[in-house]
Amino acid sequence: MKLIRKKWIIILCLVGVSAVVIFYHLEGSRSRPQELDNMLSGATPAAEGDVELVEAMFYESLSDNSVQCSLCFRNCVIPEGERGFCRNRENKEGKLYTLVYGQASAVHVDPVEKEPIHHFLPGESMLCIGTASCNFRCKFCHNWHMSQRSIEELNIREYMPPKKVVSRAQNHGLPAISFTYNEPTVFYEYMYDTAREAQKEGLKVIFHTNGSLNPEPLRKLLPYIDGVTVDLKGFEDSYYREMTQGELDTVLETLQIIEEKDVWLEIVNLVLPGLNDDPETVRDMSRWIIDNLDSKTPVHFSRFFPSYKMQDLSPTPVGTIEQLAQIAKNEGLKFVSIGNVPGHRLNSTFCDNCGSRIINRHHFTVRNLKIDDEGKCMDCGHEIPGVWR
Amino acid sequence: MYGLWTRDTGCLALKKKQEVKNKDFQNRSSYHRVIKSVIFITGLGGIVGQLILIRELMITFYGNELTWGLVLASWLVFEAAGSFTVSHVKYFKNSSLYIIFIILYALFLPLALYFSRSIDVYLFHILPGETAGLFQLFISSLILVGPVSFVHGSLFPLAAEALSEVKTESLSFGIGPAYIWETAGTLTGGVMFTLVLARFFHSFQIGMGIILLHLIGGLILLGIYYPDYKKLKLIFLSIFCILFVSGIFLTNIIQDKTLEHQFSGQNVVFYENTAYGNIVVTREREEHTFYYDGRPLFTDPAYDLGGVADFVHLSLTAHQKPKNILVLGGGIGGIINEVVGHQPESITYVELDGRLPEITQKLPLSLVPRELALPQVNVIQADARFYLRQTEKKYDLVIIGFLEPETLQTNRLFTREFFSLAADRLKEQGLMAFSLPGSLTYLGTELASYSRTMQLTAEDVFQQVSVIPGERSIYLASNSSFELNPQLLWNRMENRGLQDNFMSPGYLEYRLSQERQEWFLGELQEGRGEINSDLRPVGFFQALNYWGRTFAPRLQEYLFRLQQYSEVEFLGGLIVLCVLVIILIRLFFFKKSRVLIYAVGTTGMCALAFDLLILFVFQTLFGFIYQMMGLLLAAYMGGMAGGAALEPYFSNRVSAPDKLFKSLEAVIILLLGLFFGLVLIMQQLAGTGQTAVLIMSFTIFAVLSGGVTGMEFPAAARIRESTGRKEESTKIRAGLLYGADLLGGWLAGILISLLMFPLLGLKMTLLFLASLKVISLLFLFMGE
Repeated sequence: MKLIRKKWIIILCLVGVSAVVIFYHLEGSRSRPQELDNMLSGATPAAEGDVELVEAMFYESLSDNSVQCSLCFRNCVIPEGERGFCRNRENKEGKLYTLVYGQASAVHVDPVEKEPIHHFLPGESMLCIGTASCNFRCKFCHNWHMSQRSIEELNIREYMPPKKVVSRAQNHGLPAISFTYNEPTVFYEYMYDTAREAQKEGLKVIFHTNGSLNPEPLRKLLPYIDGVTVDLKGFEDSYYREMTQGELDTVLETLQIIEEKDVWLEIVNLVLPGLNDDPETVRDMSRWIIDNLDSKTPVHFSRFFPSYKMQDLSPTPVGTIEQLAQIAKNEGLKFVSIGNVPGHRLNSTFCDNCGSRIINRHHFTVRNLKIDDEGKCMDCGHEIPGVWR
Repeated sequence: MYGLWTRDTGCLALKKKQEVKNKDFQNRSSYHRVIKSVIFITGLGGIVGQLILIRELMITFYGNELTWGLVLASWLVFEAAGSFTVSHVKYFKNSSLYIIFIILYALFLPLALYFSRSIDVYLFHILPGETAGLFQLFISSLILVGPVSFVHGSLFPLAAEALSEVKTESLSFGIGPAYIWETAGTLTGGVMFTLVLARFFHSFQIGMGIILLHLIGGLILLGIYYPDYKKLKLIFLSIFCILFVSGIFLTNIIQDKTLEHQFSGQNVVFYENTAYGNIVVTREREEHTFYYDGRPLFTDPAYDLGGVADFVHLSLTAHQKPKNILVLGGGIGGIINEVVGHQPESITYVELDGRLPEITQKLPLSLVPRELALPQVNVIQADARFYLRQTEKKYDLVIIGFLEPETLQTNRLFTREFFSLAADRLKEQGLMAFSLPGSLTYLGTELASYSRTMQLTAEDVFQQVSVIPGERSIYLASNSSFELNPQLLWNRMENRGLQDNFMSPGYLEYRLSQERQEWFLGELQEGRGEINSDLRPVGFFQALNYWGRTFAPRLQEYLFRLQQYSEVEFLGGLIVLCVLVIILIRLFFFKKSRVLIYAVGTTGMCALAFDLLILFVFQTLFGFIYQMMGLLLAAYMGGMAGGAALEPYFSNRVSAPDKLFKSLEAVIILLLGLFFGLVLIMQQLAGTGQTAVLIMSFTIFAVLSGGVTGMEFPAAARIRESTGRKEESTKIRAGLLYGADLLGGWLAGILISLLMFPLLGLKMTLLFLASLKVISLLFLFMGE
């Protein structure tokens, strides 16, 4: 018996040690890149080109060295050494830092129409920036390669502080910068500083958001923003919870604040068949937009195609999208368009007065503009709201 | 799996004797024959049940070879557990247990089938259209397969006991015939499934057949064991009659109901299991979506115009004047419709599953029938590789439709060997085009590796390969030079009258931008690319890796890190691990048996490895495993049964039990080498019209390899009996060997499907297994 017990102990020890060695080896260096380590060890921001450690905005220190972030609706309480839900903000010794300042993992030139934002510099291109991670977990995310990864999991080729972003856009002759790809809320400080820099240089700034910013940071940011595209993913809280781990009320509040601040606003609704395509819900959504925002707020209904974790769902029937667009128009929304259906008539923008096709759009391509720089329809002279130059 | 029954033959022959109480039937040999018929039924029910469960799980859970490996491994574990557990049950009469378990199997199988279509929803709250991940697959396969295989595994020892009770001789008299009759049922079931059942009946109809057969079996046993229990027999008979009469009606209702769950929120208008896969068509408003093995294939008429037109127009305008186009797979539902806009003289569309275009003619579709009715379109039902080998025609463009190397069946269209075939069928200035997942924003290392692997594989064959980054990256390859200049492509579009689609000079500038191209090529360098080949399906591994990033990110990270090791390093590491295992066995087990346990365990690995590798290689070379699965599995199991049955014959002809065992070990090593040689020959001959001969060769090899591995277990039991501790009971002895065999098979199931075959390829996998057997043979010769 004793011999058997000894053998068991030896075996268990061997297995345990092996498991630890293998696990440790396979885990590899999951530690942060050296730059981040430098940042978090308190290295001082140095000359341009060096990685900067930036303290986060909108948080509150608590006792026992915890902090509470107040950037988005989650209001995460973050113990020391931990990160918030977005994985981009870390508590170090009772101070909250953003880990993605200047860490642009994606910097590309894209057409404005791709945003989508239709009443904003049509036919132009802009410099688009994204970093890492997100504060939602949408099951149909289009940019999951970035949004569902933390900063350590991405290859950041180039440190791009705000001035560098602006000069990059200027070098390309681009009139605008867009914060997009992953949720800009989670790189708020980077977006904020870059937007201010861009405005100084006369560039326009837009961002594409899930609408989860808290009111205070949103109000602080909006003076430097020229346009916002907000994803209104659905109009039921249960849908938001199940499909995105987000919250509808926050998004609605965001929409109202943007409207209140008179920043150009467009809304995108990605329609998933059988999940958020109920006509009555869309009717309620349309009424809400008219009652709380403006009947002239452009609304885009986008067709879903299988993506990320929703690989087994069929694409949205075009008939469904058309029906929902018609409901929105019937309720009184003036500018309703359809996305991801190239060649559809509602890719284009029509004058809400004379019905003339003022922007002839085919997918991302603008074929013809019948609107002047003042934003007036060339056929009837009616003023179309938007940012036209 | 069924190898477990082979193992039982040897070890349960040494089990306790049980006194037969009912002397009334003791000498009635007619009851012997009747019991054998029940055993035949359970054998048939077992294999058919397993096959339909695998098929359903592949549809629910992203049908690839990983699913097979996990389900087979789960079946194996629980089958052995059932067999082992019931053999230790003392307090119930064997006859009662036998009847109960037969009925339980008839109950559990349809339940498993029912929930196989919706378990992800019930257990994990997966939403309609949401794809379940690896963890969900693993747990679901355990839950669904577990009870069924546990019960089925219990049937064999009960059957053997039942046979032996008829006479008063040793139990071994029951095991041999029980094994033979069960295997006969298995073989029959495998062949029936392949030739008839899979093609003409859906899973619930087949399941109903199994229920009815088992009710008959239960009734027969009741008649033998409990002749006075008239009420019980009447109940059985009533249930049988009700199910028999209402069977078709009931099964169709259940079929429709479960499809509703599986395709929640959609209206299913068509369902069929073809020889190659499962086709479901749903309708919503005016649109029909075709699902193949549970994944959306195309939507009629409103296909993804942005994606399809982008791929087709960029590919076709890269060629100066494409007249003859070949589309391989995935052509209907948009690609042909776009290709026709370039006014080619001919479009040859090759589709493996001929039922797909046939079905489109039966439904009220608007786009696909139009595509197929075009005068220049010629549809050929054939395997793409077979077609490329056979045809003498040459083409300006060879387009691989929207397929990805995410299964072994489709990976074979993205290998170096296939690209060579395609290159041979191109005219001068001809191009090959295909598209794979991509991104216009960021490429993670798994996507970079996936893309790089495809790029390298194409570059291995073609002189020029260009990749146009996009949401789906477009790969263009040719042995002549071609240009991707936006203005040039636009001019060609105008000349072909295509200027009114959504493409424009500005759009082409955007899609072909130099900056994006440089960014993409830079990202590719971060990936770990290797050439994808038939016998080293790295493309399949990369696709699995990519899928894993979405659904099992942690596991994917580990798999990805394993790629940093070379083949030799990886192999060396695995062998070191095995040596550590031997050391552990040495410390723990009684010394004379430790090598035997290692040998039996590694043979268990080889047994399932042969099983899986035959299926995988068949899939790679021929592409129609769905239909042939039953035949190949049955052939292998039949071989195992035959081997076990023949073991006493060979044992009697050698002087010591370990001589036969050592010989078998050596034969297994030879078979591993022979398998590799056979595959190399098959690779050359596949697609040359010798299909029947090649399939027969595979089948014969399956029988041979099954026979050798099947013979080893009873030989091991015999050695154990002669060399083990005297005080060790037969049950414990059997349990040790059983456990070793089980563990080996289970490890093979997981390692080979997930890791070894996709990452190391066939050669290294066989080398690894051969190394294990060489080590065990060496130890055997070293003696104790």
